[in-house]
Amino acid sequence: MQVQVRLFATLRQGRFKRQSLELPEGDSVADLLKSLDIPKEDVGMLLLNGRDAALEAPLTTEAVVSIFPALGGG
Amino acid sequence: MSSRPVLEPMLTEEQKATLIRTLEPEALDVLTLDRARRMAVEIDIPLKCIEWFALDHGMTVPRYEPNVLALGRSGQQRLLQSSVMIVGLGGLGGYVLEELARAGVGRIICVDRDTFDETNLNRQLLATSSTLGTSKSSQAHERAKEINEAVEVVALTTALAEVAPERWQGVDMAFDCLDNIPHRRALAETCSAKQIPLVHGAVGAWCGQVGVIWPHSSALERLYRNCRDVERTSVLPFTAATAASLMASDGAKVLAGKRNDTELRFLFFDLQENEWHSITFDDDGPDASCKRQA
Repeated sequence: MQVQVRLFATLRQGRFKRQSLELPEGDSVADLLKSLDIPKEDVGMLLLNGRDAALEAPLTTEAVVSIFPALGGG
Repeated sequence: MSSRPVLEPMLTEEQKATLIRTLEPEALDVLTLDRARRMAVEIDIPLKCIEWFALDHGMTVPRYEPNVLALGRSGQQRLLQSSVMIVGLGGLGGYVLEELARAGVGRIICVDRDTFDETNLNRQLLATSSTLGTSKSSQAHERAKEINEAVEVVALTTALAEVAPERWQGVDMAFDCLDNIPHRRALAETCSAKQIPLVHGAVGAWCGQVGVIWPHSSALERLYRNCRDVERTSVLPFTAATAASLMASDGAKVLAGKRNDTELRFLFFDLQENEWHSITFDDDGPDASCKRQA
């Protein structure tokens, strides 16, 4: 299935800004992160089709996933 | 739920009567700082209460006039009536304090147990060559009083966990200016238990995120659901100042009654790319989203 992936800020380093990826049917957001080599601890806001989602959320064809880095400094 | 905090009354009936007796014969159009200061001593009423009364009776208070044009008299009065707690007085907290004191928030409790060190100098407003080694909360107190003596400032040189429950009495809003996730979680839990909104802000390198977390929402958990803590990262001076200004603005909007919704809306910015993203979380939690998605 085709999934649209949008990465933000530091998560783009060595990767991309936005890209369409081919993933196996039934993959979840966690599987996507693994394929992009993004440790889950680095992920802050995570949106699936514009709504905040958990790592276990299943992906569907043409899903749009937006991944922001975790920020904690002050 | 209303986004507008219910604030404590500013004056007792006795204070009101004293102010009417003192101010009405003078028929002032403008209450200067000098006159207000003398009056505070003469009639033994706090300066912020005199300023609030002057605004209530149509007088111009020059200090707040540039605010009043945007906030209205009632908005400015609400700020003077408000009580906030700023937790963390580093890169975010120093600027938040600066702006809230200038805006005229009536009572500010400043919480930080640390002292300034050299690694703070790049971004922390209160960190200067001469304040190295001194208490952050004491410097915050001094700075806020220097900016606006009408503001009641309480400095607590302590960790969040050690803030006595009575210190939360009357607090209308808290500002999360902390630098680690476990303490942010603890603050969010406290605010939720006390039913007060929490203004969240976090930064890293060129990026920041800011938003208001309403009581009993799981927004903070959802922001940090994947990580226990983040490694100490770079924070640039303009990133901290930008995030802090957005926090002060978000908080002032709610306190002044200028925001009516209770959406879970976060702004994520990336100053390196000049990108700004507004993200709204569902109110009903991520599980519901996932079920619908499935």
